[in-house]
Amino acid sequence: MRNTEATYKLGIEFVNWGRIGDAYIHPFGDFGRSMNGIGFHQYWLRMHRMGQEPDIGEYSLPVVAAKAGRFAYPSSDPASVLSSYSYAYQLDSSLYAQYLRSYSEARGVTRHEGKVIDVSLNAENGFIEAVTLDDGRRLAGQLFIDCSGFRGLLIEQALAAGYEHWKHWLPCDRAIAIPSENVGETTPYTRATADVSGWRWRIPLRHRTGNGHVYSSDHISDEAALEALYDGLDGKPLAEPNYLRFATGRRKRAWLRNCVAIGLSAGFLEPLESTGIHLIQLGIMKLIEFFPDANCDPANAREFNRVMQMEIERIRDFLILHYTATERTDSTFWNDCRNLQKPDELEERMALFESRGHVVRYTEGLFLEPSWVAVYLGQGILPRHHDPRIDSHHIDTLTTQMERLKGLIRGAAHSLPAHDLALRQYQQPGGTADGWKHAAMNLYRN
Amino acid sequence: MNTGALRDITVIGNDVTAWLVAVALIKHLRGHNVNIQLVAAPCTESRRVLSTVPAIHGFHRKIGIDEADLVRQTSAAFTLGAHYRNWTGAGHDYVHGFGPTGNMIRAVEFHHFANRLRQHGDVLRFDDYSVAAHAVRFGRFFHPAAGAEGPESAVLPHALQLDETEYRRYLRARALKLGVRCIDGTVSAAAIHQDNGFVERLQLDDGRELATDFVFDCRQDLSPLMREALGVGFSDWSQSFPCDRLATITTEEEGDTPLAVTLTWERQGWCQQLALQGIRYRELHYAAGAAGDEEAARQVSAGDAADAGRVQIRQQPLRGCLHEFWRGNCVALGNAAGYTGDFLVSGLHLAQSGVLRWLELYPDRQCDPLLAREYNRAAHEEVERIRDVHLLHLSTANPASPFWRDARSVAFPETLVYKTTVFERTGILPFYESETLSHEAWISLLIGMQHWPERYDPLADDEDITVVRTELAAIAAAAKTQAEKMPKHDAVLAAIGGEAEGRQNVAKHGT
Repeated sequence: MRNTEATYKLGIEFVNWGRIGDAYIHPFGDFGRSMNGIGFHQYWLRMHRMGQEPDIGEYSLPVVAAKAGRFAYPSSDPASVLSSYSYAYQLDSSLYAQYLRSYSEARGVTRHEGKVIDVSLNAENGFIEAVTLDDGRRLAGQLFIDCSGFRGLLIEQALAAGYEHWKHWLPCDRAIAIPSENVGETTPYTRATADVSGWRWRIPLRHRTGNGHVYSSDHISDEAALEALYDGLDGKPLAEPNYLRFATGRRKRAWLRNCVAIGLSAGFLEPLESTGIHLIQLGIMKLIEFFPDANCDPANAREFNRVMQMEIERIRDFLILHYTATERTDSTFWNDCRNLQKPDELEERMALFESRGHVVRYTEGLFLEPSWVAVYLGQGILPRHHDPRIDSHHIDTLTTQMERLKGLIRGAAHSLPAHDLALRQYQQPGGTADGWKHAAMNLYRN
Repeated sequence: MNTGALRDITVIGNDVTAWLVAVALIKHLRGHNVNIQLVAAPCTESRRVLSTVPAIHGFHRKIGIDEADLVRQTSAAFTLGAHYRNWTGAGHDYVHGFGPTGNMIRAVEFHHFANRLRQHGDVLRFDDYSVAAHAVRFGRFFHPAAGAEGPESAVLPHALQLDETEYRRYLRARALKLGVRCIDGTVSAAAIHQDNGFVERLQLDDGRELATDFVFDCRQDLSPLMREALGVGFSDWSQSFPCDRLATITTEEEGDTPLAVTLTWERQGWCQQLALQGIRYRELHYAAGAAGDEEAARQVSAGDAADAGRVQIRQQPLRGCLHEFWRGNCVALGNAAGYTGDFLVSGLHLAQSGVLRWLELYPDRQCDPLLAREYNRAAHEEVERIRDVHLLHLSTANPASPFWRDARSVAFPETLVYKTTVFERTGILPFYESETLSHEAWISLLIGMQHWPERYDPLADDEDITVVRTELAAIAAAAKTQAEKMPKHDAVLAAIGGEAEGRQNVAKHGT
């Protein structure tokens, strides 16, 4: 964290998504706790219907702490409400890259600087044998990992693995990024503000704030997008804008022959839920799990591709939800999003929530029940019915229980140190990190 | 107030499934103004022993049943897995334990190292690395309720062998105590609402009528309510599963109570043996065309003429399952939903997970069809993964008889072709959503059935072979030692059963 100017992150705040003026936080943690085997949001739904409960976020420790600008490592005591969340990092990507570079070079990775100008394939099996660099050097190998970004220098340009486009589901195709000066306290969360034809990110780091505008070139010009980005900055810009173009979708075969694409070369989803680095890490872990020998049996590749496809498609559906669960009618962009034809699985999922507040569970996949609940409720999807069993509880008893829980969470959240103070404590050289634990590959619990 | 909440739920049936469903319902719906009634037709008591999988542990906890109390009251026995004999060939002897086999080494799965040694020419048995397998062979088991000291982690994943009659009585007593109303009678017809196809009333054969908001058909035969009254289709699996007859016998036998269900290859089918203290229950599964009933009776009674006279023969229900397990306001569970087979995972498990799934989707009187659709989607996924387990068993059986040469050439669904092909070629196990078997249970089963992968993870080559050999020997020795230190299964059962002598023996890690 010291080397990457990183800050802590308890969730993402979504502003103006369901309707202009709305805001909610998708937290890395649970809402309340399930009672009598029935999910907490079902209780909340009944209270809400009685007109008593404006915000489910008040039952989430990370939401309350994020809003209060507070952070501490989660507790390892499962009985404590301070164990009901996890956390992530907001970090400077170029510093992170430098950090990983020196980390790996120190451990024996050899770096060859150069530009690949040619790829030689084996005449019989089509495997990559070597890449030739612009200074004439030839690097031979048995396994090639393509991290060349969108171009897919090896996986696409040399092996033509194919790409599946998802623009009809996720229409944004461009982004502009610009850093700005920090103003005020560093928030322990990222903000994603829906704009007229896309959305803007705001990521607070220690030394500056990262900002960007993701938009659809079919709906807005680069100039107008830049203007909206400038308008939304809360500090002075620190550099010239950086323009990016992307094609949302996935490489049809991220692993083909002896080439494994990881990162943007394997597919791209906009950073709305910060899933880019997660997908890279998952790719690395699955590659190690399904590690090939020199023959690179296509069976290893098939299973890798099956698992990675499932993961990226589930994240994709979760992102589509953000765009379709909206009442916004203020632009062609939002009208198009509201009416887009959803993937079947998402359609079925949403129907079940709309009917009865049921969240379909899966065993593989990043986003579990609390995340779906956060976005559904945060963007105004209220089920027609809640679990009928809740109705047999006396409303006064429920009110008392809910109030107690809310008070418990508020008290606990406000007992945490301010985020900036936590950063100073944990990050100074020799700083203490009492209670630090290895993060799990899980959004909600450590 | 949601005025549409369910008020009357009717369970039809009188066997284990029906009472188990009734207990789960009353346990979760007590205090919610729902009447649970059960229509019980006269039932004949059997001496069958039921096998279960470790998931029953969590299920019992969810419905408030204490395992030790259940074992005490019903004289149940524990089980740690399945013991295969002669399955893939004469002399084949493999214990598939519910727990893990070996452990990860340097972040690489255990079976790759075993495979490396094997490919190097070492002779090894995969179940040597499983604590559960050693425990089965030694007849030893640790359970905290037996009074022995030990950490929670020392309790191996286990399941129960249950006396069907006793278990039914136990569940029935509990259901009645919690407030389930039992109506003696036989359902003869149902009045279906013309517009929405919901069951409105059930007619009993003595003329009584029962109004109901929701029906669970848990009868022992394929649900006539679903099939005929509601017109739900049926997937017939009998082409893939040739055994349609069952010869069963219960005998009294002294000696250690086995800790595993034994599955033995026979020329014309297969024999499953379960055990309670002092009791052995055997069932021979065979095909009517391939073996005569007399021959089957002789086989299942192991040639004992006196026993042969007590063998019961019956036709198995038609193999397969309903196209929909939930339609309108009616759910079928257990044999009423279909008969899906009996290797490792029985229909009892499906009834357990079915009722819990229904409680999660808990409908109101409108019964939104979306809920039924989701229930059916998840239930079919589950049933298909279990069918994969059954098909794998058939396909790996020794082809040394005409019956098996035929039976083992079953067609695999695409999911199972993919799973076995990828595993055999690479040692990687494709794992799907809604699997009942765990990742490691699949690996244990595949390797136990001689599906050793052609290759192993090259990362298992990092260390010198002598190092790996030492590491694996240590794992096997530790597994054996851990099992040896456990009390005898019968001493544990005696201690749980409340016999002071048994408890004392166990405390001394009885020998």
